[in-house]
Amino acid sequence: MGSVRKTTLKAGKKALALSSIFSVRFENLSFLIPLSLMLLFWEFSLRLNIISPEVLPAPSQILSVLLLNLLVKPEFTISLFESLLTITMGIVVAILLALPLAIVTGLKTRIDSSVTPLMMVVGALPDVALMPFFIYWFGKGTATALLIAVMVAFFPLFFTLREGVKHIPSDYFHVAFVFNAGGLKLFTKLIFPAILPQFITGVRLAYEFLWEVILAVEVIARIHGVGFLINLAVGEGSLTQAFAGIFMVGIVVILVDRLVFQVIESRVKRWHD
Amino acid sequence: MRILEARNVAKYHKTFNGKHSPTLEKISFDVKKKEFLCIVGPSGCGKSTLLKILAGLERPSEGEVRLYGEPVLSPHPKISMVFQNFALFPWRTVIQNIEFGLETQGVPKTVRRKIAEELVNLMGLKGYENAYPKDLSGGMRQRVAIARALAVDPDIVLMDEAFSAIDEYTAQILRSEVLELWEDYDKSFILVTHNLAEALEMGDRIIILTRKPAKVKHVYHVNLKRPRRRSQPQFLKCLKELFTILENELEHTIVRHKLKSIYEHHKLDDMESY
Repeated sequence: MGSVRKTTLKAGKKALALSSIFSVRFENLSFLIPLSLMLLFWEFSLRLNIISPEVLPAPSQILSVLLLNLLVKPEFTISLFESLLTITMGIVVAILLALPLAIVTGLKTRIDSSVTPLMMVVGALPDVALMPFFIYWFGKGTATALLIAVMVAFFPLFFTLREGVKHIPSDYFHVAFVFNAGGLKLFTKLIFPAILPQFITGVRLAYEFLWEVILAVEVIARIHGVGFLINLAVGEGSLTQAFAGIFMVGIVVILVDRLVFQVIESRVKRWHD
Repeated sequence: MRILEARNVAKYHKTFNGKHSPTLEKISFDVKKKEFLCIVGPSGCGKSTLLKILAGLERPSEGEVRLYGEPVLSPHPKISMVFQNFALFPWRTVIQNIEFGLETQGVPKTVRRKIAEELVNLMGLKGYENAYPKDLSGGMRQRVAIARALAVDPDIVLMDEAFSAIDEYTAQILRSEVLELWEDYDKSFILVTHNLAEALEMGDRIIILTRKPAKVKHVYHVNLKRPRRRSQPQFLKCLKELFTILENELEHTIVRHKLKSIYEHHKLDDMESY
């Protein structure tokens, strides 16, 4: 009797686990439905000659060019990594700058009230409009791209992290001090874990902004990267090649979002409500 | 044996026009080994400030706090604390929260895990080791906070309104459990509360503070046998005595209202019939 009950219980648990995996999978992949509908609509409007392929190439054609590029055109893949490198470096440097400043302004009201208004003014300036200045000062090259990336990533990071630090309850600091967690431990055991949700939000925002701005920078300043490649392809009249670049960016953005951000976020969700 | 002593502790806060506004004025008392000391006073009289000074979280403007004769200038490993709103770290599980103090002291992982597991059993948290605070009730959270405070093996446990944010029924159970803990170990407890009945139930001595700026108005020695029951005639008599001492301090404070309801709840008006 006991063993029978145990096995049914086990089977029940297994079924529950499976169904929850499926529901998670389904939820994660549900974005594919509108996406594929859009691609189908696009494909059929070309097949039915509603749109001319000279104006807009068919998605099936773009995807096959994309696959072929990835296999035989190394410069295509390299350009992707060039853009990704600029974006990643920009975010890393911006974190190194924004984190200490966010902690200081988040903890010290007096410093906050003198520094933060300035940050708001500078942060509100349109990044793309500042691009000519950067090009004028630093030339058309990697340095300019990186500096712009840092600037774009800095502000969303700074403001979300500062908000996170401000919201740490003062009792948490009392707990840390009572249990002798001062200095570096205060950062590793209290401040950083406490602001982790805002940290993820900040990095995610910075990442999204950066793709837009960096592609524009590559087009305008003719810096190597996906944007540069797209611009080149359009100039040569090869729309399929240009769209292959755009598709690749889209796929990378979705992959990073699903595999990096959502995985970390689901870990944070276990304790954060 | 005297463990902790407060000598002429005063605290001034600077106001916007540069004047010093006093919160605490020349407060002196000492805490003996294994004593249960309660500190009561009207809301906003500076009880919590006093407790923070005892914990080494704040420095007194004048006077000093000494532990075993040595001045307390910063938090001391032998002084631990429980907070009104639990103050558990939400990103840590129950067992990780309990381990926190040991972790910052650099106790090896296997050792601290063992100590934490013992406290899990002691505080009735078995089965919740890997839960996060958000999934626990207020009473359970405070159990975790008490376990965290005990994990570092303190000589003195400070409790700041530790039972005020919990529903009364759970608080009642938790109080008797804390008393059991206190009886089983050689630790001194200092409980700050605005609840006179709670102070009377738990304390060996009760320090009654005046309105802000707080001074020691009276030190009340509780001569009731343990375990104390709130329905005992002797208990009610002491409660009325305490209330009379504090009453003058309660004008214009919200506590007066709160105490009045306790007063009515225990039908202190019928006292004379006992």
